[in-house]
Amino acid sequence: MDRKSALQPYRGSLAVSTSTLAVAVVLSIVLWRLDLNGQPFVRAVAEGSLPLGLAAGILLVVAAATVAIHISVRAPSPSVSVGEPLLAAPRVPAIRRNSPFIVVLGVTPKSGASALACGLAFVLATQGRIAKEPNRRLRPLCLLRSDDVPSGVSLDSQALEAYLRAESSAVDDDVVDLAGRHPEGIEFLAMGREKPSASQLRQFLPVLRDHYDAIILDIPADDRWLATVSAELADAVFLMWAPPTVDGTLQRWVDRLWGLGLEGKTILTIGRRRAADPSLPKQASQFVLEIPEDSAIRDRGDSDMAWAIANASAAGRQLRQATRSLLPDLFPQGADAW
Amino acid sequence: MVITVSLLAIWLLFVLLAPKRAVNSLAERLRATVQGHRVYVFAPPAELGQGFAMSGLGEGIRLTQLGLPVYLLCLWAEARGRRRRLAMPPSMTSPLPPAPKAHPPARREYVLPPMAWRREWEATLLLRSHQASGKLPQPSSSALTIRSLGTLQLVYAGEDLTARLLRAPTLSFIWLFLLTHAAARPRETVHRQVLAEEAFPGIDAEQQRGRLRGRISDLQHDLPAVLADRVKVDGDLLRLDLETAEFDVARLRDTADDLAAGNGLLSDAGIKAIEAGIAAYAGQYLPIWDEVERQTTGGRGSAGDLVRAVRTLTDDLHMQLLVRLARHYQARRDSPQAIPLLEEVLRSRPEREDVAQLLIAEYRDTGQTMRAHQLETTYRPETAGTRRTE
Repeated sequence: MDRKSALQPYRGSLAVSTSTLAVAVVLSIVLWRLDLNGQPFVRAVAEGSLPLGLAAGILLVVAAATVAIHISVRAPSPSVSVGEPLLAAPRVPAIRRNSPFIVVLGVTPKSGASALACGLAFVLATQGRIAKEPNRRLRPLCLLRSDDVPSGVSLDSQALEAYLRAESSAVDDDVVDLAGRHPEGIEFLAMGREKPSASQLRQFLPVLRDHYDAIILDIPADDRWLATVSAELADAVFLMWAPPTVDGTLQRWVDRLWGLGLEGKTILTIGRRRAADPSLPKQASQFVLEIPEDSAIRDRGDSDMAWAIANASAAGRQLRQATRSLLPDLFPQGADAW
Repeated sequence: MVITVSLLAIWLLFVLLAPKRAVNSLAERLRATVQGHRVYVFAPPAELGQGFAMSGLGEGIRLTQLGLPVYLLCLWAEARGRRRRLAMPPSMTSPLPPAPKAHPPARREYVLPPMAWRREWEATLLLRSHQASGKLPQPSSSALTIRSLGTLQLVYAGEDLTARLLRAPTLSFIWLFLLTHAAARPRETVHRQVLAEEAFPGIDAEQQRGRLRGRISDLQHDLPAVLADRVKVDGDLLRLDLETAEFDVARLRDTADDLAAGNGLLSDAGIKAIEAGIAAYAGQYLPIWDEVERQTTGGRGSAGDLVRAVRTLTDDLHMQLLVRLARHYQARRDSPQAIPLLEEVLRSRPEREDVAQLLIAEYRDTGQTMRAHQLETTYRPETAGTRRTE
């Protein structure tokens, strides 16, 4: 990072300090030139020079000592090089049903929708539990594009496509055999170019609900028909958008979901949020989730999902908090409330 | 000069004390930082370079921005947050093992039990009724009964001779080999040398013949006469005489030869005969053979091949009878009777596509469209080729 960008957050305060210094210097020159020593204001200032100077000196010494001690004791954190955004607490609806179906709708490309879908599944698989079956972990299913499937998952990316072509009218339990399993118990189904039709999706859900504790579908908004059907069937929709893209797509989707009467389960999700991005107006959506730009996601290798449960990850914290509020029945009370 | 000093002091106080950025979110930021959710309350210190001086300058700029009181508050919050983060584990995962892979549930196939069970049960009921009425069927005193399907049982005049045969391993090998030969090729003889090689493999031919001669003479002493007398020696040729014996394999073969051909209706006697044949097939031929062969020859000869051939033969005969009976019920439009028979055939012989087609038709006739569809999917032309190659 160069000095110019390093000083970016401090530009305003440096400008204020410099300009006030300039004012002080100009003022002293003016007073000296006009020879206003006899004036009461000037006299008062002159009489206060000693205590003012003393106070300023003491303050300067204290400040310098504080800074010196601080930088001697603690080096700057290497993990944070830019300002962290101030994130609002997630506002999400609570879903209380068995095997919820959650849709992550990526409005803008590279908004982090797939990372959110995988992270959500990872949180459920590693930290979720059902109260009536406390001795087993959850088994979530993640349906996403074949390119986004984590590399550690053994999966035939064409299998689902071939199955849907062969079984165009009926979906049966055999479909679960097509899913690849992650070591943490998440299962993945890859969607190729040919995605399930609306009727197939309707048939899919009851079958998948028999086998999985949660079903998460990551789908780009450009597949408008399937996205709309999925949103209608979903228990919750993460409408994922990343600033600073402003092309009206987000607003169109907000309007569309509002028009369908789905605003009660739509969570406006701002991905990759940075400190410099403007905050959303409070009335933008009833439910909002902010996922910050996080090096733990950006630098993850092989689509690693561990960021979702890493305590050091700000994005993971937001996601965990949102997941717990969204699916309260899948998390035992009091555990891991950090 | 005094004025200038005073103004500079005022400026310094302003720079060091007054925050120069909006602090309306300070409480929220402090709370998040203390909880460990943020590393810095506001932005991190400017990174101007390496070394103490540059770090100090960067930190000084931060101090200037916030003013000393807020700066000190931030340092306190950041230290608290840092301690809290350090106390936390890197991540929290459930101690339970991950969920296993999901699998489709095993489909429950409800089918009628095999016909053999029914026949066995009916025979038991009959026996009980005879016992109750005191009219126990008298065993035929003149016929030796040989049951070799699913068991080995030699009964003569109500006495089970099986244990006496098996007591002498080499003799039982010879006797059972001749029995198997008779089952495979009725009324054909075995050359003495062939039998000698099978019974005493790996030694000189002369020694083999000598040992066989000795064992054949032992037959009369060591086996019950009813078993020993069955072995007929004609010069170098030997055979087991089963003319007057009740041999289950022979009966199964006769029934199949007489009745398995054709598709139409059977007579009542034919139905009973086929049902009896099916019921008699209690399992594979001579299951005890492998143990007898191991004790005698250690499996070095080729006698086992002959036994396996008879096992295949009897299984084929059993299948023929099942299909024949099923076809009879089909001709009578009695699908509930035909279906379990066809299912039993298909379980044993999944390659029988003709039987699969019959079963699909029966399923459709009885309204079991889902089962018919499943079977059709399994026996699609493209998968049939794969099954055949398997």
